[in-house]
Amino acid sequence: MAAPLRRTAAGPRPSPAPDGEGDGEAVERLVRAHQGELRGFLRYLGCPASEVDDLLQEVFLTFLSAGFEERDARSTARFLRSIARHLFLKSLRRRESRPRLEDLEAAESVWVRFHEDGGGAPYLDALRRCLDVLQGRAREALELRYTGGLGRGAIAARLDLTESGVHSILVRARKRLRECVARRTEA
Amino acid sequence: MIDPEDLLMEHGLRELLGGDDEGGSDELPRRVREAWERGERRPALPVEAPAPRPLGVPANDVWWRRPRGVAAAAALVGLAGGVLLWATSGEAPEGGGRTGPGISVNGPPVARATRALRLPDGALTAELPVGVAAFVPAGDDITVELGSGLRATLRVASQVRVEPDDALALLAGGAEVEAEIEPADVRLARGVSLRVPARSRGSVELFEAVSPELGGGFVGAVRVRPAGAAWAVVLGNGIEEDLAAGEVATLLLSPAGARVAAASDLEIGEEIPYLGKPLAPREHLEVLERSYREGVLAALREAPELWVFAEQPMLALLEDNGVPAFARQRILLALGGDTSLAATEVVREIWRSAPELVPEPVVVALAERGVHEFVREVEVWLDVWEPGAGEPPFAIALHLGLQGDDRATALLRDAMEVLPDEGGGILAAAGLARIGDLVAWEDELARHAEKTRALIELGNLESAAMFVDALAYAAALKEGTAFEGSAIPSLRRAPLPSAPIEHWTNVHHMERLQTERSAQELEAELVALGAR
Repeated sequence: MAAPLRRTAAGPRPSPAPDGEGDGEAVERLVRAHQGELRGFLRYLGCPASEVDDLLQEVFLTFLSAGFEERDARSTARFLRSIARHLFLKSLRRRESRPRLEDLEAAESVWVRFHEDGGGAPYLDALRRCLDVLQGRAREALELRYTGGLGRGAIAARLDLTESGVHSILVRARKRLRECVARRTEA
Repeated sequence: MIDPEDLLMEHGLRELLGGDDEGGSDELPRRVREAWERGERRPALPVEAPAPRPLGVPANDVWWRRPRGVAAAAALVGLAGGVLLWATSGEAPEGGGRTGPGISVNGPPVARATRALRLPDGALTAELPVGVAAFVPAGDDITVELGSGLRATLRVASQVRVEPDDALALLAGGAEVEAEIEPADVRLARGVSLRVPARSRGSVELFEAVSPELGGGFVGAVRVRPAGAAWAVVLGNGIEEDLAAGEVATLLLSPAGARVAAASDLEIGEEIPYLGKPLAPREHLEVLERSYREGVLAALREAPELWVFAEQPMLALLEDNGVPAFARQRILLALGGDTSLAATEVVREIWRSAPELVPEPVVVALAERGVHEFVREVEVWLDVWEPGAGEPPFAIALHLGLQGDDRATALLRDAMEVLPDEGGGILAAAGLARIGDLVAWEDELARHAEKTRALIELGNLESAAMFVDALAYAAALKEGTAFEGSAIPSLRRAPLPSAPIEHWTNVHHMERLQTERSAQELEAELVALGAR
């Protein structure tokens, strides 16, 4: 457990900063324990990879400043996610962007279900097996997109499709993979 | 709205294909520690446990959170008349939400208030947040205090829909509207103003709406004249266009779209009893589809020049994720059957933004017509198809199979195994027969006849009739000959790959079910169709 962070009597609320000896180590422990999930969560919400670290730093500093009473790792994670979601929305507003997801609470519950199931391992394992059987241009398009990091235009040029055609093939491939993962994880 | 499951899939793909993992940075813990020790502190955030949802509102119910979607829907809804009820009824929380005359509904949360307002049970005084729609029945008063503090009072002899901030639409059945809006020049948000004569009643001129700040597509006035007279749309340049005469007058002002859509000579009398009544989802679907097939699209076929009014509202409706996908797909199916260039353009536009929404028969229909994106698209469907993974794209397989594509032929064989018993197997076999595999047809025909006769023996004549009807359609499909079984003229032609399942399930079988057939009649039909 990542103590000794400041505790409060009645749950999350602002409190003075910890200043005791060993607090620095506790801070690092906290970050190591939770940064993995938060990184994935922010990326899942649509945060660009280049902005994740800066946002995470803000998340942890906000968390520490709030003097959250740590009851267990799960409640800490939940509070951290709430801060991350909030700060991510603020960053979008600064850029005058809109979130990709309308209901971030519902999105978070999907994420929690994914992550609390062995850190998402069963899902990823199923997805890996589904990817193994996906062939042809659908597979190529996914690799060009996610491995090659190419945009629609570049993928379209490689596959001799229009950009709309690439959009369509990616949408349909992901849909097919979703169905496949659902079958495998339910089995 | 993006489905969180889609984002999860994207996350997984980034991890597996892009090496994007959750491992974390070695540097971040040190960075945070140093910042903390330097004394960096952050203000508290309003981060709390999520508030409970209003009672009776399911978590995935988007209607109450997307009122503007309803507004967009209302554009075409108004055109078709009867579809208004699509937005106004159904899905109301059981046993809740009714409000009586004069009840004031104040402030958020709006979900229950919105639902209550949709119920046709009296006058309401309400403070409506931006985008909330209100519906009141004929003969009632409504005072609506808009979010900006403005007040509108309407006395109506028909259905009124008020959309603060976004649009004001009046649906006047029988052209008997009495309108009073206070103050005399009400300025709604986003620059739409309404000027109404001090008291305008009845039979000559209902009201005049002036929208001087609408740029681009339309600036001008709309006059709605009484039943039997022509519509007049006065454009900003002074040109007056007479539209079709009729009993139903629909006006939509949409500042967001800078357009006025106003056209209908449809008789909606039969639909009016639906207004305000809760409908089951299936009834919604039927009314919506019929309104489009027989209403909007039929009107547009007769008067294609009206597409200029219809296109944007139609696109707005189809792109609105607040409208259930299945409903939008029904409209797309209707558009797919419309060979006009404008209809094709609408489908193409939707395909560009949301290809997953375009149903398979529509994709094939446009490929059959040689629309190049869709000629490619049918191949994409085959690319992502996986044997044994759910229902195969039968129409696409048939379309490509007829062109000699081996993968399509394999897919048709898969379809024989996977599609539902009630006809999928025999339809797939018909497709194979069209390609030349008569053995598959004979085998499936024998199996199909055996199943049908077993049902007849059990006395299950309704199911047996379904099997017979499927065979009738499959036989027409196999031969590619005119299909005389339908009462609908447009179906009396050789079935196309884009058509069979839709036509069979939604039209042909439903028609034939209206006539009961005896066991002997069903057996005779079986034999006539080639079953031994």
